[in-house]
Amino acid sequence: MIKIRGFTKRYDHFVAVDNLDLDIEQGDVFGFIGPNGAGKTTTIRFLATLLKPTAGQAWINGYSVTKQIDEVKRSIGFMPDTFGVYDGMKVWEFLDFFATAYGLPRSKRRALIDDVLDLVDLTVKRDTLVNGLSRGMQQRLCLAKTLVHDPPVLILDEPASGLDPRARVEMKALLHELQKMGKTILISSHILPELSDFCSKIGIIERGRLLAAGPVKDVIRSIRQNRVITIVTATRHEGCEVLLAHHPQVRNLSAGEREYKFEFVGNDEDVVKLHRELVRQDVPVVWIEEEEADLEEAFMKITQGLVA
Amino acid sequence: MAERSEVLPLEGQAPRTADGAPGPAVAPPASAPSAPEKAQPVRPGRLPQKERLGFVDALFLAIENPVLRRELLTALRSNKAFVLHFVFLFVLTVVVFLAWPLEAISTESERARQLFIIFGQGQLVLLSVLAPAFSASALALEKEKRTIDLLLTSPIRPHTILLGKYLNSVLYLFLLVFSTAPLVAVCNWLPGIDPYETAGLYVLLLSVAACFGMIGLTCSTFFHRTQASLSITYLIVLPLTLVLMTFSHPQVFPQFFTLSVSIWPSGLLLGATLVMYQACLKRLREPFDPVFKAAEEEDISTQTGLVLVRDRFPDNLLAPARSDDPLPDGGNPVFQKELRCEIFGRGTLFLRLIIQISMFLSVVFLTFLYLKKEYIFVDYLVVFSMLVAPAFASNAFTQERERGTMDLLLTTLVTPSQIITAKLFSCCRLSLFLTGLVGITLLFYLLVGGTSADGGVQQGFLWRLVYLAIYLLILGTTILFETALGLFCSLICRSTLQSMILTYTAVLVIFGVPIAAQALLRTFASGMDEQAIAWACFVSPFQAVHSVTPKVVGASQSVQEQAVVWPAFVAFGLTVSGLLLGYTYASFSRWMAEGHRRE
Repeated sequence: MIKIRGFTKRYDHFVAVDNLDLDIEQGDVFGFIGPNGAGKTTTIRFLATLLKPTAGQAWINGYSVTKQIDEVKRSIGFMPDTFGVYDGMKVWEFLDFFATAYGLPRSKRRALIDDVLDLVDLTVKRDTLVNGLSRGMQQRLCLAKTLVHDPPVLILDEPASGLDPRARVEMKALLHELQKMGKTILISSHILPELSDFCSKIGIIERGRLLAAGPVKDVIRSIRQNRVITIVTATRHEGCEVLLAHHPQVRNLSAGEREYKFEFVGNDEDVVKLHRELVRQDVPVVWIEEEEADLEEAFMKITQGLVA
Repeated sequence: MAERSEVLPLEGQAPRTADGAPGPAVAPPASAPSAPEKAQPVRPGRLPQKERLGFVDALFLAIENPVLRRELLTALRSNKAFVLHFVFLFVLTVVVFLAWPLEAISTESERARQLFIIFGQGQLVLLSVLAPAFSASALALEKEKRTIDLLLTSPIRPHTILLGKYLNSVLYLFLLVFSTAPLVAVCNWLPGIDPYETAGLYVLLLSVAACFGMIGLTCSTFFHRTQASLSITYLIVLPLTLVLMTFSHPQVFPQFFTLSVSIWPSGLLLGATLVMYQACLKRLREPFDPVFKAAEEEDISTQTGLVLVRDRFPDNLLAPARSDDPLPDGGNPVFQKELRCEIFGRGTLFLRLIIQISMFLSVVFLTFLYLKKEYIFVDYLVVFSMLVAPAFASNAFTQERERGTMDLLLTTLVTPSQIITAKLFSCCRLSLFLTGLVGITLLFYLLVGGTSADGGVQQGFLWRLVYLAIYLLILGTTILFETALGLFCSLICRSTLQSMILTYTAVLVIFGVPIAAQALLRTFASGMDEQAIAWACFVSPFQAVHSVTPKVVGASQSVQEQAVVWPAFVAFGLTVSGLLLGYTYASFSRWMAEGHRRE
């Protein structure tokens, strides 16, 4: 659905994005993460037809971002990181203006506006002036604006920034709803735990270079390299500690009374082999567990914070 | 024995000691079981310890103004202040150079006096142009950028903030005034100029700088938008300048610049400055609410009776009544948006003040219609359009960028031509409406006009109708030119403030400077061909207006027929407007295609 090849953007001598390749399939929710100034917004603005690339090309919904601009604009709903509203406009007038700007016929607009207001839970604010809305409501209104022409692709730049916890949870629920509707979503955010919750894929960018991209677990595993495994035994077992300490695939063992935590170099089959060996040695294993992948940890590991 | 502090109990709970153990139950006082509990005084917390200062440090801290220091730092870091200073002195030097009497220096006292008065008036005009540019954005910009909250929540007192902002604006103006002293000193070599007159001129100029700076700061305190503040400041400052210019004219008040005379208007101006300062201080002590600023302006407008009611005539011409119907199909959505909403975005109080101040002034200028000098009334309308049209047009694109709506607009399917025509028509419509509202009394000209001034040429009704049409054509061309210029500046500038100042300066230079040069030439280069002088100024609408009705011009000894330059002005105005709009369209289209760099 979104395909980027060799995207490069230079400002004089400063390279904002360097030779970026990216593929996002239909129905994917792609989280784009990176420190401030990494090149996320530059990439997003390029996809939103707001930026001419120094080199490279991109296609959204099969249309070229640089050549078929109108078709791309019809295919995307764009929410910038910072945006404003027009003073003196009511909520429905704001949506009506953008619906007209997307060329939607008057006969359909009224029902459509009611539908998107219902989706973003702003129906009660239909006749309120937009400049009187709270920040969270303005964010939701802007999301409603991106949905008004029913685009298959949503490009959302920091949609949850500046929101309070409740508004953030509501925004997350809304994005889940959109995901269910089959939209392809490209979202950039700093709130990493939330991204790992509902993104099917992520891309980590720093200093204009894409460091890693793919399904969330794969990316984290590739960054972490080793699995982190915890084994809990029913009683303290000397043999278990000796076995693990001398096992060629075990690193950084930390042994407690009944708990052993270590990094394991190997695939699923190797884990099964280790388990069999432990049972053979009569180690009373209560459970064996692989630690959940942590996006935040992976992010800190792969990025050096050079541009933050 | 260790002291046990008590933790305040929640409602209905027994107090607990600091270590969490329940304390003794406290019975409610029997005397007042249902009376509301008296709020217990809260024991003040510990504050960071104040540093002990020596006498010199304490003295410096007392007189140091952090706001002023910051303002001066940022102002003097850029080279704009020095460039402006150079331009100011250069213009005045050119004036003195051109007007310097070359022959018979010892006997030409009348020309020396003319030179001195023109020099003083030139400074007055320059001050009236510069003072609002320096002070009208001082606090409005802080409000727009939301940095006012940082200032007001710091221990800096409102008085310090206001004084810092004020001194920053006027100190530079004072510097400009004082730096012209060598030029005046040169003029003092000429006969006929009293040193008391020089002193009087400087007292007046400093008072004018102080007062005009304060007018700008007052508008900046009361308005939330720089655009509104700047426009209203000019609207107040320019008529005041006109009054001072009239009084300082040798035929009206020959000794106006003498110390004993100029001290009176100076006193009045300084008195007004103090009153305004107090009003600003009072306003600054009240909280600003940036979120509901639009609503706040509406409230003020209601309180002062300046209400803009959408569904009443003539307000509905300005802002159409709200409708529950969606926008029509096939139209220009940006124009519909501008028409329905942007007018309120500009602030109804701002619009109402413009209308009311201008209508008050138009009553004064109506006198010229009765004096059969309708062209002076049209001059006033041109000046009015010079104030309002740039104010509306010069923020067309910058405001979309600053507000963050440009990205939303550019990712829709609206085309560059739709955006530019919408901006052009909505700005022209507003300026034409306001100018029309103020100038509606020009229709009286059809009734009361009859003879043109000076020449005694009879005007029949049909001729008056033709002349009126030409005046309207000139006004329309002027507004179109100003709007096109404003849109152009708005596209090339980064901020609304930059764009407004550039537009106002360009309009003033193109329309005003030729007329000032003409006045100089008439005074100091007698015998020049009047027609040549008129044609040299054809780019100014004032010259065009004065060339509509036939009249004789020049001194009585060499009466010449005036040059009819208005067709040339109209052609010039339309051509340049077309070029500016064409460039704006091409740049905007390129901008949309190539992507605009983030500010």
